Amino acid sequence: MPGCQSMTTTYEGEQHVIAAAQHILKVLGENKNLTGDFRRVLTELDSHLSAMTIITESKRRGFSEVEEQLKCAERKVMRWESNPSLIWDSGPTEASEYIQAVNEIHTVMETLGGLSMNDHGRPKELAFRAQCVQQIAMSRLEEELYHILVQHKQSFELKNISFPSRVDFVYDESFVSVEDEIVNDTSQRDKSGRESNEYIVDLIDPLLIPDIKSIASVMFASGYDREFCEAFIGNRKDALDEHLSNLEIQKLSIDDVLNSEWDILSCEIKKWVRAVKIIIRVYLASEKQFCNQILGDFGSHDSYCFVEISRASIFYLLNFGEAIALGPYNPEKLFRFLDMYEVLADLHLDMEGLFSEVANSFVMSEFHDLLRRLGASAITTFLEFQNAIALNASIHPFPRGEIHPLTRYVMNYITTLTAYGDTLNLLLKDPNPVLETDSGQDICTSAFSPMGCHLRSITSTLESNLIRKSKLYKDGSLEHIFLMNNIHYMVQKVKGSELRLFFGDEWIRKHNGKFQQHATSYERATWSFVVSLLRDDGRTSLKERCRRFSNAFNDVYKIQTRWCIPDLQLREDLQISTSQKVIPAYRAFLAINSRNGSDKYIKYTSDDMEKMLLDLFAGPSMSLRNSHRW
Amino acid sequence: MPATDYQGSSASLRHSILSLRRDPVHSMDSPHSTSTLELELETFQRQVTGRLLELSSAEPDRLLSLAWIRKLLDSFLCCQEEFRVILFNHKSLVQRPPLDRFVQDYFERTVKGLDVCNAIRDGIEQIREWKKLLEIVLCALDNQRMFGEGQFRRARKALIDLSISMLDEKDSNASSVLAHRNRSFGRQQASSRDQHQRSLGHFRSLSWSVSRSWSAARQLQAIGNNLVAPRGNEVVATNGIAVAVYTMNTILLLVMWALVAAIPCQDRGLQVHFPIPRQFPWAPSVFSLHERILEESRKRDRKNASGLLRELYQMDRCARVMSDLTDWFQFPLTEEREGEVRQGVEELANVCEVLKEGLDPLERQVREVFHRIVHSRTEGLDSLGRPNHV
Repeated sequence: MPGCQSMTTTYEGEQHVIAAAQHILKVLGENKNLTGDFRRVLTELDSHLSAMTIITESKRRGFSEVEEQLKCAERKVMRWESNPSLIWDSGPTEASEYIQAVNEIHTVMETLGGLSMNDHGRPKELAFRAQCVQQIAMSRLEEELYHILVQHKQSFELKNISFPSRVDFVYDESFVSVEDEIVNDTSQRDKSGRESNEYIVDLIDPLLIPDIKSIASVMFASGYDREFCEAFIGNRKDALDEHLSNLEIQKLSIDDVLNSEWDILSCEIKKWVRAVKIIIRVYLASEKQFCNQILGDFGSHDSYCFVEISRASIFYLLNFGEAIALGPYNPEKLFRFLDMYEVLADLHLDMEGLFSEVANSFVMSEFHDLLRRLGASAITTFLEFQNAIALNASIHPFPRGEIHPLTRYVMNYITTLTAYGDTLNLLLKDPNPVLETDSGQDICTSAFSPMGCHLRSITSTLESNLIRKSKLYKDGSLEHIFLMNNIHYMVQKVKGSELRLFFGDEWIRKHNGKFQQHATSYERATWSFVVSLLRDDGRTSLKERCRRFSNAFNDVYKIQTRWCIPDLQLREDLQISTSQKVIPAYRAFLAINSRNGSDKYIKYTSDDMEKMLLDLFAGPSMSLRNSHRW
Repeated sequence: MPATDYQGSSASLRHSILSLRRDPVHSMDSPHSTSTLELELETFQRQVTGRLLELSSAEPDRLLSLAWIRKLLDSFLCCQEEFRVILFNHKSLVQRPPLDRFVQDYFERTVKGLDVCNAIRDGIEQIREWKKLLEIVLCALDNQRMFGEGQFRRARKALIDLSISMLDEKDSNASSVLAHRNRSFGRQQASSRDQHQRSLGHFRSLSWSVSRSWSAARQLQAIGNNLVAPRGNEVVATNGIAVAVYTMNTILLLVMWALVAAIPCQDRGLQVHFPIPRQFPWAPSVFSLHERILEESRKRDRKNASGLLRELYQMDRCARVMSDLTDWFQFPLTEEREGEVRQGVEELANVCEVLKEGLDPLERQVREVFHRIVHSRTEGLDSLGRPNHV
């Protein structure tokens, strides 16, 4: 073909000229006396010549070839425009052909991109045509991307992620008794020891990843990265929202939270604790990896997209926490505050892993803010608890000298608290603790730990309050029974749980002594006088003494059988001890007076007396077996 | 002194405050601390008046701009801080009734502002989404040597997405979350693609922050509920601090109201009552601002705006202009047309630039307001000596 021939000759000719020019430049460049300016001119000239080589190269290929290439690609793209089905549904060959077509359009545009402004006519026309087809293809690819992401979404089971919940502490405003049978399982920590990447799941069928990547590649190369990212982010946000609603997270405003009933709020918090863990450790970690898989090759787009995707849900979760941390700081909230604090402290490494780049520091600072506030809320509540105990005032004495509901509540409360010992110690020592990376600390259960000190202070406040309550009794004996019951209960609670580690043996010993002392005081208060009535003071007749003794005993019996010592062992011990005070004296009395024939004044044997003493402190369930009138 | 008699009580208010110096029964601690308090209160009122005056005298094209909003928030933060210091310095006075009630009431109102802050943050995010669409337009049309159909199509697609999104925002109370995309340039509606209705992520309005029942208007009503100026005897009983509390309450309401007016959020009703007694030195400024913003909302072309932020208006206008300009199929463009396009693009680029510079700092400021409210409330409630119990 003559045209081709002349072009070939022209090309060769041009190449010779260019080669010669480049040679001259090289020789000139070797001159060491060149100024900076001159050297720069030479460099520019050199690159210009190189560019010319490319231009002539493409010109050599023939303009018609380029046009043909575009037409071919255009056909492929436009064919799909009138096709209602999805390209990626129609098989891998179709998909890769489409991508190839788009790539070719891009190549064509690159080729034509070297044209100067002054070029009119065919090349420019072709460039615009290519641009048009490109735009159509990009638009289509956006749709295809969306459909791929939707159709190949993967669901997965959450059952292998266990989040044991702590015991639900039932709070009753009026401090009425709480069940003593609350199981206090302190081994509830989720220390599964897993590596964080064990939680990562496939959010999209992994087989589709290459396809998505190829779409990303071609869109980025064509300068349509924004469109890709927006479509991508949009879909991922949708998916994350779906996860959140699957976790039953409601959208509560701060107003909602402040106006909600506590038991509803407590439920929401439990859901939140679970959700936070799953979202951060599973979903966001997986999402980040997914972004990295798709966009890792494109600079910082992967982390940009990840932040955009995760923003809204992270902020919502953090906002809820803020709302809860606003208070008010009623004692029953302490466990929830601690749960929330602990879950966030647990997740802080995961969070750093997800949001550690400088641009995302706002997320981390919000996170740390919330953590701090929850810690402060917990401590405030803990201190408020002690106040509440001190302020709990009674008007009437508590019936039957039994264990006061306040005692039960406080002891059960602090028993449950031992499960949070680590965290509380940390917060009590330093309200803004630096989180350790190693969570393998041992529980600081020493009686000298901050927790130990505070707990002893709390029980001390309780004791003071109980003493005030005991003064309401008119009967001094009942005062002692009441204090004996309650302190004994406290000691039992401490001995029978983790509390003993915080209170120490010294405390237990001391308080054992206390309740025993009350027992002794009781005996003295009630029985010293009664027993003294048996004594022969020389003035009172036997008949009179018997009568006085009977009446006194009868009174005591009538009243004190209705008193209650709930703990059976304690009751028995006191009965025995009382027996030991009364019976020998009575036996002696009987022995002295049996010879006088004064049996008719004495109604009971010492055995009878012993039996009756066993009726004491049985409480209201005891029906009076011996309804004798003396 | 009856509360409704605003005109008459102005003299008595001033008299009440001044009489404190002379009345030994009401002087707390020492006469010295009373006069310090008086000075602080006077300074506070002066500062408030000055700031509000500056804000209300903004030129028409500056009012409700990003820069102005930031100044508004800055003023709030300053006033809030000064107020906090006054309360802090005079804790013993604050703890006495009736001031303790007033202060507690103030803190409750500020808490209602927290939800507004969160909603505003989402609104800012929404504006960012729109800006991203405009950036696509710029990508297509800015710095181009020549314009071709492909670029126009690209720009147009983004502009259509933008207008649908802004419409969706206004109708956020409607059930439709899915957006029908207008396929541009007469492409046939493909049936199987229709089945997969595309809910484009950036079309959803504020998906994860507020429930459908949350209402900005209601929140504002709650903040402004029962907001009345203190009576003469209350002023005396509180050593004048009640006036500062009332002032702060008003500022809070104004700021929240202005934010809601400017930034897109759910249920943006602006009908909030602002009954301000005229004797307060800052009252004219507040009144003027209220009037001007309301007037702005009533203007024909702003009636259905998703937010009165000036940059939103500019964005909307530019987008409309570009929409018209790109609705064109004859290439190459005439020189005249090309010039118009370039000019439109330049204006758009300016708006985007302003937004790019201003949105992030604004968001940070809103967050700062949030944090300060929480912090000063915690501090304030603590110093009231309340055990923070319900």
